[in-house]
Amino acid sequence: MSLPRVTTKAPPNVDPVKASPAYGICALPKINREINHEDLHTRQKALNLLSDMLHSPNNIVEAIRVGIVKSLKLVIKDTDDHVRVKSTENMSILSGHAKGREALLAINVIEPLSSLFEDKVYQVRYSVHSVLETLTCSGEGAMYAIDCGLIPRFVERLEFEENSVKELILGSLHNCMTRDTVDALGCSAMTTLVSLLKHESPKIRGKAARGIMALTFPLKGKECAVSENAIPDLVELLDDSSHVVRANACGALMSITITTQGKKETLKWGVIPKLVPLICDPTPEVQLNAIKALTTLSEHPSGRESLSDTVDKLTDISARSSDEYIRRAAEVAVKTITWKP
Amino acid sequence: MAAVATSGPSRGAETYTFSSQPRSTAAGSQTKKLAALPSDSNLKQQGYGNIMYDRRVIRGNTYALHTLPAGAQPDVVELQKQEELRRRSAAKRRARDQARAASPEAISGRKHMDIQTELYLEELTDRVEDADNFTQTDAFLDRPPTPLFVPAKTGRDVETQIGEGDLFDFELESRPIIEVLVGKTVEQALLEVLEEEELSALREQQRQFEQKRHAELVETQRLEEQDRRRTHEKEKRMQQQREALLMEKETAKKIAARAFAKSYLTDLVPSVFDALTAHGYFYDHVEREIVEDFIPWLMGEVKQDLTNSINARRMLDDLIMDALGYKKPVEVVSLIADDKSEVTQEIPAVLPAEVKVELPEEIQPEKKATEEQKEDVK
Repeated sequence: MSLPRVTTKAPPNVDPVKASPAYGICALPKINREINHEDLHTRQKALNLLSDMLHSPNNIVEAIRVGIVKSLKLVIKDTDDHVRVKSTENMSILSGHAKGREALLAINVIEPLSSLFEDKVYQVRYSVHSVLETLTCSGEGAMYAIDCGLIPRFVERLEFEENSVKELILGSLHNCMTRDTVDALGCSAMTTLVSLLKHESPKIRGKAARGIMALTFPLKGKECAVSENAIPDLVELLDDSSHVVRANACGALMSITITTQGKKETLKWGVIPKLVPLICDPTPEVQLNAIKALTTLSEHPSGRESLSDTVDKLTDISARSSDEYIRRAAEVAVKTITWKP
Repeated sequence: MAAVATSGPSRGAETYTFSSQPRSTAAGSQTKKLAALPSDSNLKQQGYGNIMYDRRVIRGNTYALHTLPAGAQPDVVELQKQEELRRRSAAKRRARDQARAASPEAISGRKHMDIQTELYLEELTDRVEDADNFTQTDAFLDRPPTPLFVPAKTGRDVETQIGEGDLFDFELESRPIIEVLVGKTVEQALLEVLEEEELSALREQQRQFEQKRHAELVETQRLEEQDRRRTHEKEKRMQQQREALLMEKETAKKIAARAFAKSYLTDLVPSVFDALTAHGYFYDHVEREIVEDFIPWLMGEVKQDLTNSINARRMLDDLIMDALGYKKPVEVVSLIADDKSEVTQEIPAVLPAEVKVELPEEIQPEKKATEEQKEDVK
């Protein structure tokens, strides 16, 4: 027997973890109000809803307009774990868009975020580092992070973090080091990066090698790499199964071998027999970096001597490769090897 | 009413009928006993009990019908025959047991044992092999199921008519809601996937760009380094060349200076020698020593010697004068003063009285020599 349910009560809350959005243009202002609400459950629900809504670019623009970014900046210091997790997650969604990055940089969010590096909740740290990684992609973001003195803190955190966070930190560190390497060289980033070259995860190995490459572009970095014994580990990585690792190891070596001292050290570890097969690698990056590394090595008399029989291969590549950069690099390499004083 | 069992020739064709008047049952135990052995007399006394135990009621298949005649009595002759048979077989068994010879008694210290004498040994056990089987009928097999309790209806019935399509059709009604739900979810998922793809595409592009930038950067640095090395080399060589030139020039200068000095000195030495010789810088050492040292020394010694001898003579003169008692000192003095006036003046002071005291012993041998000398001087 069915009875029609007639009640004066409001319909039950279907989803207790998520707030229901207000209709139309009222949605985001309401969320903004609720984020700053003193009731913890209201805040959590609003943040949950926001993390779903922010995936749409339209909502991002609107959210920035109503000042949700500022509210998020306040709320990342909340004592509740879930609020911190969700607010940093929202920031990482925002940072995926150019507008969001602009807004985040405009309110100087990097400094408060850096205070969460030692947070006990893993997701908070993960989101914080993913925000920083995307923010430092742009030049001004990287400069701002350097001004806040984040490089030494990144290097310090690299020793303790979990692998997924380590990847993000290495990305941020690389972004910062492409702008300025003085800080990084000052806080012995090279030692940490060299120790990460032996990590079991290929992603981390690749990113560590990429960091070393960025760090060795200035002259001082090259000297530091030689003195920190980075070369044997990098030479070992040339046989790695991951092409990213190989490419970055080649890149780091090509940068280190520019100095005479670097060339001597590298040749000592028998790098040429390992580099020569890489110039026919299927990945163009590896190919390009290997050719460049051979070019720099061939400036050394003994390197030139041992490379004299790869000239045919290189001329072949310069004639047949589809990539313009590789063609040019191979031509330069041939020219350097066949150079007579 | 009494039970009527059909009997006689019409028995096979007709079915049994039974009827009895309802009545109260007698006490349980007695009834059972009686019912177990029904007889006409019993029936007549007790009436009729349970027909399940009625001998006259046929149970089972009627084809193998074995009925007892209504007034059946056990055959006495037959019973006696059976009794006789039983007794005979018992006697036969007893006789057989006795006929069997027993084994003699075992000698002392030994004991009879049962052993098997058959061809094949087999295990002997006390227990008889058996297997248990049992069966159990279902409890209350015959009890019909309890009917569902339906409470008695109360109140008034009301009904409403529902036409075709009036009721909620779940399949139909839930479709739009589910479509919206699925659509929203898929849309959200699509947004997230697109976002991630966009990000990864951006990263990839950035990575490729950086890759090329790095390659170019390295190329530039390499060329810079090459340039620096070559410039360094060039400068070093130039420096070397310059140094060589400088040294060459210096050497030439040195040679010229040497030649000049040589030519200059060729004239200089004789002229200087001449000048020096003229100025008296070159002299004979022996000659100079003789002149400077030896001669004055010699002169001094000679003078000394002479002075001594003069003194001696004067003293001699004095002695002689004294001896003669004749004083003529002036002569002697003037005589000596010709040579050296200062010596003569000192003599009186130099020769005091002591000389005078000593003289008397020695003076004699010298006297003659002094006189001779005096003569020489004169």
